[in-house]
Amino acid sequence: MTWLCPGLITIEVERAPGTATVVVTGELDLVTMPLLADQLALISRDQPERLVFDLAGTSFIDCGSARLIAGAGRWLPAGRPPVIRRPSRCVRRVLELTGLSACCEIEE
Amino acid sequence: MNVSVHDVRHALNELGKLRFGEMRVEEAMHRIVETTHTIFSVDGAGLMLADIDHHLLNAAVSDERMRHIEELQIHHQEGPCIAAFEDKELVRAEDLTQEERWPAFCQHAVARGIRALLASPIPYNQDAVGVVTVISEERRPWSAEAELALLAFTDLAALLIATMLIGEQQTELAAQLQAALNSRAIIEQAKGVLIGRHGLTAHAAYAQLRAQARAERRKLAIVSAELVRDAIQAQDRAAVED
Repeated sequence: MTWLCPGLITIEVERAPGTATVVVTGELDLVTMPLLADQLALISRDQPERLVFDLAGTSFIDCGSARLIAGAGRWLPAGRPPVIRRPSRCVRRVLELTGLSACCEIEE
Repeated sequence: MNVSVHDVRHALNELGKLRFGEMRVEEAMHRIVETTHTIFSVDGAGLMLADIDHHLLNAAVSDERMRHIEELQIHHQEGPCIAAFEDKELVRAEDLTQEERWPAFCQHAVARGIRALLASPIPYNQDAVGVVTVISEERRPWSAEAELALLAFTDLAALLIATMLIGEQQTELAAQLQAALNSRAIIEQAKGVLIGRHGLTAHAAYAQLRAQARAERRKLAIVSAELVRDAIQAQDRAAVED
């Protein structure tokens, strides 16, 4: 029998030379914001040239978390904003409404 | 009628100055709802929170018609706020007379002077705990600015709810919300059992639980707890037989 754990979010960071990829599975809201901020602080120590958020498994995002993601990676080279990979419909809508889609690159 | 981004910023700034921690949470929710009503120039705004049975109950309203929405959704078990809550998505309905998603709800809502509606789920720790809604008595094509403004007010409501839960305020509302959060875990587990057993989608599993609770006139959390207990016992028996 399959048991599904309720209320679980995972934020995993995959590191490759020059690139950090943050994979979020679950929902990003007020409660998870500190978890995400912690991971971003760790990544900022390495200052990778490319920062990717894989949000295919992110079923919800609030405006605060969207701001956190779009504003991440201040060290990134000019013209290389954070990449949002495969955003779900909900994530895409929030990024569009908040105008934050202009601060990142959407990748399918 | 358009929502101005400038007005929204101003309103959020004003609300941001309120010291929610020192305020009764009901009072703070009322302020949010009244401000939402004014900013949108709508005919009503409301903040609903889930109870232990996952029914959406009004916590603060700016118009009596929000009471109809609460009652109609509980009675018909369908409606835009329920959809926003369950799918955790902003739900827009421009004209309830043309709406096909919630036929029973719409018919009665229109008769009570509710024509258009925008509903946004309030997220908290991996699930929705309530919904912020605005209503209009006229048909209304909601603009992107309106959607954004509602998202902003929803974030504020989430912040307020977090303050309430962390501050352990001893109010009826805080108790209702805490009970809803507690029951959520067991309902999620019961959904997991049904998904594993019958290969249902999460949505279908939830619908089945609700239908069973309704048919047996029992609480959703109780039906869920029994299902989980039976599943665990069956698993234990199977382990012994092995």
